[in-house]
Amino acid sequence: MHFQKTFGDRVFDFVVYFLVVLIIVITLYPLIYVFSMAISDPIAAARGDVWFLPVGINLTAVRKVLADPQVITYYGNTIWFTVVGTICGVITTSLCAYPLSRKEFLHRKLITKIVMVTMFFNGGIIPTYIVVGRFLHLYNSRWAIIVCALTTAWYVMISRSFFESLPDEIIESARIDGASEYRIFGQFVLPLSKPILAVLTLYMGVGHWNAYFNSMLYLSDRTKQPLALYIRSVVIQNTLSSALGNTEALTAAEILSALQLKYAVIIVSVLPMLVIYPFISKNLEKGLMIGAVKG
Amino acid sequence: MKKPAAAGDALSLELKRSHRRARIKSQSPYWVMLIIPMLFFFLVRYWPMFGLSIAFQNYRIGDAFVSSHSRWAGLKWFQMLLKNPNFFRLVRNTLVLNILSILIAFPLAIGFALLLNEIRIRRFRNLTANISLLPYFISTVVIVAIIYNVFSVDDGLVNMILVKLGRAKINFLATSSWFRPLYIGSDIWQHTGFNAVVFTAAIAGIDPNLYEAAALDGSTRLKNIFYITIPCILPTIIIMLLLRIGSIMTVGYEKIILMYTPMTYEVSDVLSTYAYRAGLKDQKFSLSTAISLINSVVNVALLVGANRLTKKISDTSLW
Repeated sequence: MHFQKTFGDRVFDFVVYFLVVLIIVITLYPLIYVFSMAISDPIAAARGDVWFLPVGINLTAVRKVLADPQVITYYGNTIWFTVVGTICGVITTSLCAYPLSRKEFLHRKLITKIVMVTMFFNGGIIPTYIVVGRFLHLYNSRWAIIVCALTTAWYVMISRSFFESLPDEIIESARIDGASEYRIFGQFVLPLSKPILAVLTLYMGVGHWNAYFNSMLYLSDRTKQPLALYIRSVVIQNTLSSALGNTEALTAAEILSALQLKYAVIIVSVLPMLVIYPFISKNLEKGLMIGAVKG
Repeated sequence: MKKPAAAGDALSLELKRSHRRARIKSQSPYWVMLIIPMLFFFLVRYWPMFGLSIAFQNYRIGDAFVSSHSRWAGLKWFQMLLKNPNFFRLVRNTLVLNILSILIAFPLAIGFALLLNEIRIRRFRNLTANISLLPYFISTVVIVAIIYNVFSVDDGLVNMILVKLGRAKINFLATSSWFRPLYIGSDIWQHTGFNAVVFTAAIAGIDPNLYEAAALDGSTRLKNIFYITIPCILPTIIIMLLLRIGSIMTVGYEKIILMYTPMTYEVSDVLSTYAYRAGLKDQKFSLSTAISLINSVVNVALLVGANRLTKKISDTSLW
């Protein structure tokens, strides 16, 4: 069927595409600007000649950030939190969700309620801080960050509904073949659950990569802190001296690149996300919908 | 008479035992799997809930939450809060930021989902959706850092443009009247694409026949939006609005803590940031917990209230 486009249709289309292009520009502009500022010629950047695309390429600032041993420590910490936190989180979440998805499990309703309550109630900042930091003795330990973000009621619920949607026959036939519940879970259920495991990995990985608040609460030792706290101190609290290391030996070029350093730090932090994004974005919406529809 | 009965009892007892053994055997794997998750939920989520009791104490660090040594203080902290003139300011700021977000950011997310649905070229639609989701994956710290850089009074883009236009520089981050636009604006930039996903999913579930029938009746696409699409996704809109209202007393303190300065406390200081400062900066643990407690009690009450109201009006409910 082919419809002749009316005049009204054309106007409508025009308005739609105009708005969409406007939104795309607004969304991408700040990122492109930050990128351009970081890699432009320092003089052009300081004079305010850069407003969209880079003016003269100069990678000194980015190189300086990457060569800073402090930055490498922070970076390593962020990677550690992301990898360990995501692995522990995905394991805990699926271990919790699987029993709750089995009708054979007699106390599933009770446990589900115990999990659900935490969605609406929590102890608040201070009591949690006292429990994790003091009672569990995790103050200034990297594990405080992992433990605090192990899982949430929400993750457990979306995983549970995914496990419930798996065909019962597979589990039944495995059980008749004499497989133990652990083997059923490990060898049959998990391999079939790649979509939900991918969603969990994505959510948790991004969450850990971006998190700063718990690190601010629990980690006083700088060598354990993630990159986000470094960005906070360099850009937001504006303590540039720490980024440059030795303040006395500033040359004119270094003063010029000080402005760019603030942009370069941001680029170094978001770059991994921007590189991975095109690969995950394909299945992103499908993944997000698993959560959205159930909610 | 007695002996067979005893034998029967023994037999049934034996049967029961083996039954129980079989049940324990069949149930035990589930419990083993649940050991770590339940340890987590009880230690990290439930234990702090008992800690809410310190809102009624003169708590000092090192004390147990509840013990015979607890220094109970009754409602002291709550009374102190109500007498504090700043308390009204905290509540007002919390509400204003949330109401602004509900009035501006929430409709924009719906609007964006409707707009996406009107893009006829499939590839372009997917591309737009993906681009709009990108800011969601950028951390709060980085977003605030970008704001600090772009709006910086010394060398930020916006102030450079102002100077070129011959206007005076504005110290955006230290000016009260600019806090709300910056906060809400960056929130819209970061979350509209993500918040639209749930509406996009709802729109995808609408029966296409409705549109075909409307086309035969000569309806325009603009009319379709108001007479088909919006009515069809209304239940989703209501549920999302409910959840939003349920958290009207909660503001993302993670972002405000990064964005505010004492110069803008007048509009930027909210309940949760005050609780954070009182607790972790001034070590007033009991006061801070009292604020958290008020906050979450009001939240739950609002959620239950809003849910009841919409149930009456429209038969849509959260639970």
